[in-house]
Amino acid sequence: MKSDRFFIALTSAALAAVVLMLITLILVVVYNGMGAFWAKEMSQYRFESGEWVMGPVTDRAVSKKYPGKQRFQLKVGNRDLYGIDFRWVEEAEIIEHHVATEAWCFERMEYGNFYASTAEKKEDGSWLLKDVNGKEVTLPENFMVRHYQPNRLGIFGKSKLYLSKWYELLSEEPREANTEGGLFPAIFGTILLIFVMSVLSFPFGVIAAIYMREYATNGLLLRTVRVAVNNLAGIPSIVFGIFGLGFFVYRIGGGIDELFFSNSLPTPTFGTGGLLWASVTLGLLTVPVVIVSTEEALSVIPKGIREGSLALGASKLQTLVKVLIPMASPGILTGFILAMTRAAGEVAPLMMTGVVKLAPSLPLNHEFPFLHLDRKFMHLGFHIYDIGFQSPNVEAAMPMVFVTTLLLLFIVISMTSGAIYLRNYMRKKYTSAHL
Amino acid sequence: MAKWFISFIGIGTIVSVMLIILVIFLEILPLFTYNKLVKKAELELSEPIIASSMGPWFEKALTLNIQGKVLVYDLKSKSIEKEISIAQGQESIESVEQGLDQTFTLRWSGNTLSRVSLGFKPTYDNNSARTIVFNPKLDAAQVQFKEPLSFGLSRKSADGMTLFVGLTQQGKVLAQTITTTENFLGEVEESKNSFTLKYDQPIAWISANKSGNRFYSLSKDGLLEFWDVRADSFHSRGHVRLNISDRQVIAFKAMVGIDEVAITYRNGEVEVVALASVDGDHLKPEIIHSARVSDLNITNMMVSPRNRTLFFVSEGGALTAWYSTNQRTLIATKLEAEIQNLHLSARGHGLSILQDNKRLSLWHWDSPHPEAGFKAFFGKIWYAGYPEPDYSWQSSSSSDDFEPKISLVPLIYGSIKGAIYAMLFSVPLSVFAALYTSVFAGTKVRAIIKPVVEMMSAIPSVVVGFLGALWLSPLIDNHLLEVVIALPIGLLVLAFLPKLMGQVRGKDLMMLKPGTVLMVSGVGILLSFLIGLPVSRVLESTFFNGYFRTWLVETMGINYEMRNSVIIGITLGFAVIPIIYTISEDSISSVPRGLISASLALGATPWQTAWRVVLPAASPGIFAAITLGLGRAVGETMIVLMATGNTPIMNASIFEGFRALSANIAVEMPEAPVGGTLFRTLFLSAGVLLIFTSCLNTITEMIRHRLAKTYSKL
Repeated sequence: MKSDRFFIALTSAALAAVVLMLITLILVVVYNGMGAFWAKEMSQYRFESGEWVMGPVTDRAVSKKYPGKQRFQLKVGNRDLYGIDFRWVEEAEIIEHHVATEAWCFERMEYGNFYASTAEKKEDGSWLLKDVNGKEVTLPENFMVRHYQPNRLGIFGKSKLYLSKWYELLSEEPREANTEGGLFPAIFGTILLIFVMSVLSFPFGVIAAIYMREYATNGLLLRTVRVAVNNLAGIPSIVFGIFGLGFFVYRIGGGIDELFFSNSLPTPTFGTGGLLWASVTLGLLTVPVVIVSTEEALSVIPKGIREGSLALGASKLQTLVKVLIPMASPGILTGFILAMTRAAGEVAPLMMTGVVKLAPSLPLNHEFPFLHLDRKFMHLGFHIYDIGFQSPNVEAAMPMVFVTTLLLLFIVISMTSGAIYLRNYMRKKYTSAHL
Repeated sequence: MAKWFISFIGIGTIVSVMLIILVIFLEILPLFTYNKLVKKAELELSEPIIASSMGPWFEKALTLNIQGKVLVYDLKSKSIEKEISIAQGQESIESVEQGLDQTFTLRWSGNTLSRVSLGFKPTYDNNSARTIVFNPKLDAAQVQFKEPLSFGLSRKSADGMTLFVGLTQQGKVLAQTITTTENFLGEVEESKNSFTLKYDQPIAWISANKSGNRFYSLSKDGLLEFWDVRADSFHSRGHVRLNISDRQVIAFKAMVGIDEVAITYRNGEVEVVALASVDGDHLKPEIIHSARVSDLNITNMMVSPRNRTLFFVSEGGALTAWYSTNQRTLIATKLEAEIQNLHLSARGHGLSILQDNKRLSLWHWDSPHPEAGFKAFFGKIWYAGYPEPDYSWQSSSSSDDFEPKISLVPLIYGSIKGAIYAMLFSVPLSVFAALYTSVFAGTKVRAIIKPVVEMMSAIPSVVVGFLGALWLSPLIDNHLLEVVIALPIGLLVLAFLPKLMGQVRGKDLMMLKPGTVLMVSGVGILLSFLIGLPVSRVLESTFFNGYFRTWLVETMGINYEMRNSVIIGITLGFAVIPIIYTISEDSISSVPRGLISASLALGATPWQTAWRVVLPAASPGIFAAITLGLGRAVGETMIVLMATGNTPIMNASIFEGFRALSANIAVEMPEAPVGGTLFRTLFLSAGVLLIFTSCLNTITEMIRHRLAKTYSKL
């Protein structure tokens, strides 16, 4: 039938749409994220009034005031002089335009970037900067992060700048309300969270799966456990968060404070959100993932192996530890990786159990007891939410959000790919007859 | 030995789930059940009293007798600590009115009204030991009225005006205001104003609100009038008629809040009147609550100074506490003897009750969540200042007189609205995509698509939400018309696609490799957007005056919010597609090959087989997939938090936003005082989410279970 072709094409279009959506998402993140640190060319424009504006072009749109013409957004920087970072400029209002070859970009510790027409270094190390309208600003040496002439940089220069900004991102602390600077504390916090969470949830999950697969007898108890695991998997993450807050933070944490830290009260030590409670909450959330993967890994192992081992005189425990777990390890590892991926990505339960916008110190440092489980920490996923929705200057923060998203996406996709590869490897190993 | 340990951990999963349910339940329970009245002390009095009160922390109490003698008792030793007289040359007190704080207006036998504040305050010595000290303040101002009074009240407003109102025995209202102002030289000036309220009916009851800027009168024939208090007159704000033809009014008192009055009838009924319904451009008084609170005759009513709790004393020593907003009886108890007198302490926690005319018992009233209750969460409530009963969620505001509105209905509506739009977007896409992958695509395509979709499910919801809100939303906003016409254009393109492929490649669609078909479809989709751009530009300038969005608002009257349900549908849908796709694909692939072969053998085309045989056969599995996806959509937090406007409105329009239950928890929790009503209400909303997702999960499991049985038979 002729209409058949249409419907088949429709279904293929549905699949294509789904794939396209994913590709679009990844491309948008990669394009904006990778492009964020690539130095843009600076332009200079003059209005009829004699006022100049200078900066890189950050966006374009159709003009509403002058139909048929364009308008574009310029990052003018110099927030201490003009009060705004970005400015929309109408193409129709521009009298003069050049490429500002001599212009400087100074990245600062405060007030964001400064775009200067001339820059002079003084004897005491500070810089005297003049902006495009002639206004002067003095920049002390320790307030300067880096400086360069964007229009003079060739590919090599821009690449060096690009790499140095990426290095800064991965190793420095954030500044300017998280809209500039680095992600190091967030990356560190995320990794530490994953680590502490794993220590708590993986043993629980693996042993529970072993119980379900190897030790439980097929009856009401096993069915109840399965129902429990299914329900645990289906509980929304925010409910875990509120449970973590109500039970772990206030009840158990409050109890710990009363017993061990009563001299600091009413300032809470464990009675407030922190690394420990966030990890326990997330651990509980990801236990079903570990259980399902481990169970699947154990179920694929042929029955003959277990029987052979027992026949050779090994006890059930020995069979488990020496034979089954090593054989199931790729699958178990898959579960670990999937759980870790969720830890990197889940934000809602963390918001209530210990993640903050800016942590004053890292939860792991050289002071005793080295690992501070009561400290609040930063997290990449929460960072995205925070910069994008809680920052005072979202427009200026956009490149940073994209970069953070790119980093998180990169981590998540690589871990998931690793898990998928491992699972395929494991399946291949056992669906063929070889061992 | 190891067995026990391993079994213990295994059972731990059940324990975890039970624990989560238990913790949430325990936090919710006080909302519905915690109301305690506990006796703290009892005093034997030596003479009759006219008023009593209690200090904070139940350490001190006081009594006032008709001669104006105040006795301060220490409740631990039950002895009299202090005795002072507050009479300033008057003879005896004839009535007492308590003004929603510790101030009493005393009506003396010579038609004089005076004010006294009988309060307590805590003092701390060097060792931080606390002593409660009686701290009376006698107001120097006294007013003598020329006519015999039956009742009197007074108020002092924040701007320094003292109001004295006397109700004469003939039903006339006489008022006097004393305004003290301090001029810039620091001199205090006092100006007095006396006036009579001009009213054609005799007044039976009067009251005033706490701050003294509103006055209320109830005439003998049942007309309740609201008045604005000015220095030289009362200005009417409207009236409402009460039905008192067969009911006797026994109490008429203003409540906390700007404009709410409670009227108690002897037959056990109570009505609350507030400025509510709209009359032109202002609000007029309306009976917003009407209920029967006692089956016995009521003898007295007191108003809590702290919230909208009303205390009723009925015959036989019955005592009822009732919260007006949600019309909830908090406690209904019976004391051993008839209650003559009931007074409330300044913070509303203490009740001093006089029984047998000489026994004063002092009680602790502990009711932390009176505004909660099933009706407050799930029913329509008529709040003062609103034109009609409504479902409303508004947990805080900047004014002091604010009453938190905690209905969960707008939030549940929001969650469901978001989930439905997400389903509308994702179900057709995922099911058709799954159909294509299972039936028409080859193993090679399937091998690539499966990990791709798994990748999609691994993307954190923060990322999806962020892109939806900050990238997609402005994009659609700027290209709204193009998005709207993209679908029709896309369908047109698809209609021509098979023909095109046939002509270009010389092969029929069915003969092409599935991978190629897929890629061509993808190109087709991109093409429809590319064609859409110029087409929409042309359409926009010719039909919609160059701007579709403004046309929508001005000509069609549709309110378009940038963070609206279309964005949510797409963004939340994106997160849900992998789940529905995976499970649908599994179930479609599980349809026995025999069924498909039989259908084809009988002459059906591949599409007919897919649509009429395979899809129905897989429908339980697909239904399970949709249910699971729905559960995920309702429970999702970050995406709805970021991509909606988070406005708790109940509006079905696709262009308006909403607030979901999950996002509400994330937004409100950081600001909710621990253990308070809002805190517990958020646990309740988590409980609602939990119940909802558990039900969906159970349905899914039951379907899957039945499916496994059905297919093992085939």
